[in-house]
Amino acid sequence: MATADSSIGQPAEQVAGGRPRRGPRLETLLPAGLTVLVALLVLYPMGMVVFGTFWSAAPGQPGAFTLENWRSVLGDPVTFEVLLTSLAIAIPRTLLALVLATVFAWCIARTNTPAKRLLEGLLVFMFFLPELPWVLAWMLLGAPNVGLLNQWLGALVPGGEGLIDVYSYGGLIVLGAARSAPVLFLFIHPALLAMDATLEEAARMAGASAWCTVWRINFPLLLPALLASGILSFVVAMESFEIPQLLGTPANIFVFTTRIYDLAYGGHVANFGAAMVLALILLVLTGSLIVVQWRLLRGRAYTTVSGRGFKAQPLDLGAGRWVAFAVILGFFVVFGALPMVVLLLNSFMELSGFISWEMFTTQHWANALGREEVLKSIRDTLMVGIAAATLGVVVSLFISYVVTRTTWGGRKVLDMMAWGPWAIPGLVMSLGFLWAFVWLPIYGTLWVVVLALVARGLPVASRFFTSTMVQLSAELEESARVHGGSWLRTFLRIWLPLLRPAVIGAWILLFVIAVRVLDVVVLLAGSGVRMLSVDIFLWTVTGRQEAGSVLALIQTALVILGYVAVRLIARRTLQQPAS
Amino acid sequence: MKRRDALLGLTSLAAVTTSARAQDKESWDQVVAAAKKEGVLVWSFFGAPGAATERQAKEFEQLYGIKVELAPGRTGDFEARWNAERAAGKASIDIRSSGSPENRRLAARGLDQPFGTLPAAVEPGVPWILDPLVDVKAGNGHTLMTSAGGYYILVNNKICPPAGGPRGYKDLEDPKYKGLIVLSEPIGPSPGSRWAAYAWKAYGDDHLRKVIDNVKALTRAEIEAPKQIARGEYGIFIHPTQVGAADIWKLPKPHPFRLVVPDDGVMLLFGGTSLLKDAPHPNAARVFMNYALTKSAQQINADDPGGPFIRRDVTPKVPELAHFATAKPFPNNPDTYEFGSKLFFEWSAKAEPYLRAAGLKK
Repeated sequence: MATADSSIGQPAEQVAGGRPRRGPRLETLLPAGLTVLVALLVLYPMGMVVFGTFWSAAPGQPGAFTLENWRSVLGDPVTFEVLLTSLAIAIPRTLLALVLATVFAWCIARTNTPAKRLLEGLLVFMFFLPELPWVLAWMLLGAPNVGLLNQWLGALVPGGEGLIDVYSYGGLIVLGAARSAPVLFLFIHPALLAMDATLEEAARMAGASAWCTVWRINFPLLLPALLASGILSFVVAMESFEIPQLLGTPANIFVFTTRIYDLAYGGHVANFGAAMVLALILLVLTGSLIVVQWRLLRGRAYTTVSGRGFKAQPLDLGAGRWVAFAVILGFFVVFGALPMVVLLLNSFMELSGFISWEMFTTQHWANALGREEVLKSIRDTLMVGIAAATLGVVVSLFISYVVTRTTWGGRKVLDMMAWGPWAIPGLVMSLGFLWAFVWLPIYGTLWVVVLALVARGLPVASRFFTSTMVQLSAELEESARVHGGSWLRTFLRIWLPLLRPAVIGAWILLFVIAVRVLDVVVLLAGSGVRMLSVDIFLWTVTGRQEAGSVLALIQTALVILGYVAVRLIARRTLQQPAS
Repeated sequence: MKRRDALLGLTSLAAVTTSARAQDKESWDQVVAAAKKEGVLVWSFFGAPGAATERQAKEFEQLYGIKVELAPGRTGDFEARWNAERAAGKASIDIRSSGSPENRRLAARGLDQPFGTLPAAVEPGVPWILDPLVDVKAGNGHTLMTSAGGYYILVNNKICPPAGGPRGYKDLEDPKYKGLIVLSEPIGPSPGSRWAAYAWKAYGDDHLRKVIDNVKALTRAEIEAPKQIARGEYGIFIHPTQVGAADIWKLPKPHPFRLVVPDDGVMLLFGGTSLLKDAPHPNAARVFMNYALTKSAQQINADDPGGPFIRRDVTPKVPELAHFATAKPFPNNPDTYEFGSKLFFEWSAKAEPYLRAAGLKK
C-alpha cells in the first residue's frame, strides 16, 4: 500500500532538515481514516442495499438467499421501457439545465452584465425553494386550460389557454431543467470566477474571436466543472421523483423512480428486493459515467490559479449585457418568483389553489406558529442542518484533497465511494441507511439523521471541492512545504484561504440539502425527531397544503437565514487581518 | 319450585355478572395503572398529524397522564422502519392506525397481538356503524375497528351537469363519459383499488373495461384531485373519500361540484388500529385503544370536516359528507375480512396487466 509520504509529497522535515517525528503523521492517517469513515457512511448502507437484492425478505427478517428479485426485474420488459423513458427525459433535461447554468454563470462571472450580485442572489434563492410545494404550484400554474398561466395567456391570445401543459414530456423536461439549473450554476460559477482572464486576453491578442476564445480557452478549462455538474444533473434527473410522480403519472409517463416507488411502496406488499435491483441498475449506469469522467480528464491540466496571481477582467457585452440581464431575470420571474408567489398566496387561503379575497385567512400561519410541534421541527431541522453541513464540509474537503492532490493508491476507490449515495435513488438509499444505522447506539437521535445527511451530501460537496481544487497549482503547497510548513499548517494557511469561496458554497449547499431533503430523513426521523421536510411532505400529501405552504415558506426562510449568516461570517473573516 | 329455581338462577346469574364486571373493572384498573407506569405511547398512523390526532393525543394525556408520541407515516415507511427496528431489537412503535386492509395484512402475518377486553368496545347500547370487534370475534387477528368512512363520486357541475350526470357506479360505463374521468390509480392500497375491486366483483370484467376506457388520466394525488374537479380540470373523480372531498367544502357556495352518493350503494372503508407485536408500551396501547372508541374521542374525529367515525351517536361537522353512516352499502359491503382484504389481493394481482391492456399504464 502506498504511504502518504510518497503520495502527499516530500515531508517538510526531510526537506527542511528538521527532526524526523515518531509515529504516524496526520497526512499518513488521513487517507486511510477517510476511507474507513466513508466506508461506514456509504459502503455499509449500500452493502445492505446489495444484500437486500439477494434476500427474500428485508434484511434482518427471516428469509433465504434468492436470485428471484434479479430474475423478475431483468425479465420484465417494463424495466427497459421505463429506463428508456427516463433517459428520454433525463438527457434533454440535463443538457438544457447545463446550457442554462453555463450561460448564466458565464454572464455573471465573466461579463459586464448589470446587477450581477442581484442576479447571482436570485439564482441562489431559486435553489432554496422546496421541491414538492414548487411542483404543486406549477400544477396550479400550468394545468391545461384551467392553469393560471393558461388563463392569462387565454385572455391575451385566442386559444392561449391550451399553450402550456405541465402534464407532458415537455413539462417534465422544462420544469426539471428549471430545478437543476440553479444547482449547476452553483458548481460552474466558482470555476468561472477562478479562471485567469489573462488566458482569454492572450487568445484575443493572438487574433481569436470571442466565440473562439470561449470554445478554445473557457470551455476546456471549465471541463472538470461541466463534467461534474453534468453528471450530477443527469443523476438527479434520473433520480427525480416528485416531478414525474405528480406530473408524469396523469400523462401516462412512467419513469424509473416511479417504478421503484410502485415496487417498494405502491403495492399491498412491499417488494423492496426488486426495487433495490432497479436502484443498482441505476448505480451501474451512473458509475460508468464517473469512469467516463476520469478518462476524459486524465492526463490534462486544468490549473488556472497559481503562485503568480491572476486577474479577472470582465468581457464587455455591449448592449447585449441588458439582454443577458433580462434573460436571467426572466428565468427567475417565471420559475422562481411565480411559484413562490403562488406558495405565499396559498398559505393565506382557506383552500390551496383557490386564490380570492373571500378565501383569505391568517389561520394557517397562526396555527403553525402557535404549535409546539412546529417549533420543535424548526429547532431540530436547524440543529441537524448546521451539524450535517459542517461535518459534511470537513469530510468532503479532505476527500477532495486526497483525490486530487495525492497519488495515494486508494484515492479512486475513495472518490467512487463518495459518489455512491447520489447514484442510488433516495427512495432506496434511505432503506440502506435505515438498515445500516438502526444497529448503531445513536439510532433514534438527531445524530443518526446527521450521519445519513453527511453521507447523502458527500457526492455534491466533494464534486464541488474537486472541480475547484484541480484549478489550483501544486506549487503553492510545495513552496509552503519547502519553507518548513507542516502538512496541517500548509493545509490551513494555503489551501483553506484559497478554497474559502468553495467552502462557503459547499456549506450552503449541504445546509440546503440537509434542511430540504426528504427521502433520507423520512425513515430515520422517528417520533423523537421532527424535521420540517417530513412535515411538509405529510401535510401536503394528506390534504393540508395550506399548512404545508406555511411550513415550506418557513423552511425557505431558514435556508435564506443560514445563507445570509454564512455570507456575513465569511465577509467578517475575510476582513480580519491574517495572523 | 320452578319459580324458586328460576329466581335462584337469575340471582346467581346477576351475582356472577356483577362479579365478572367487578373482576373486569379490577383487571382494567390494573391495566390503567400499568399503563401510567409505562408513561408513554408511540402511535403510528397513516398520514400527517392533523387536528383530530393532536386533539386526541392531548385529551388522552390529560385523562391518563400518559404522553403520546405521534409517528405519522405512509404504509411503506412505517413497515420499513418498524421491520428494521424489530430486527435490531429496538421496536419503538406501540400501535398502528390505518385503513383496515393494512391492519388486516398485519394480522394475517401475525404481526399484531391481542389487546384483551376493552371496556369501551363492550359497552352496551352503543350504536356502532360496525362492531369494532368484528375481526376479533371472527378469529381474524386482532384488528380493532376504530373508524368508518365512505367513498363517493365527485362530479364537476359545468362539465357534467346534474341532468345527465352519473347517479351510481354502474352509470360510469356509459361512453358519454369518455375522456371525463380521473381515476385514483387502482393499484396497491389506493382509493382507486377499492373501487376497482368492488366494481369488478359486482359488475364483472366488461363493466370495468368500459369504465377504464372512459378514463382520461390516472392520478396518485388523491387529495389534489377533488380540487382539480372543482377547478374544472376533469369532470368526474373516482374515488374520493369523505375526508378527501372535505377540503372543497370550504369553497363559497354555490359549489361548482357535487358529491354523488351512488344509487347502487356506498363503498365503505373501515379504519383499524393494531396493537403491534413487540410493542414497548403494551398497556398504554390498550388504554389508548379503549379511549379511541369513546364518544369523546370519536366526536373529535367527527369534528374534522369529513372526519371518519365509527359511532352513530356523534355529530359530524359536515353532514353532507356523512352519508356513509346511513346510506345503502354497495353490494358485498360492509367491508369484511374475508371479502375486503382477499378481494383486494385478487384485484391487485391483475390490476397492472389490466391497466396496461387499456393503455393507461406502461
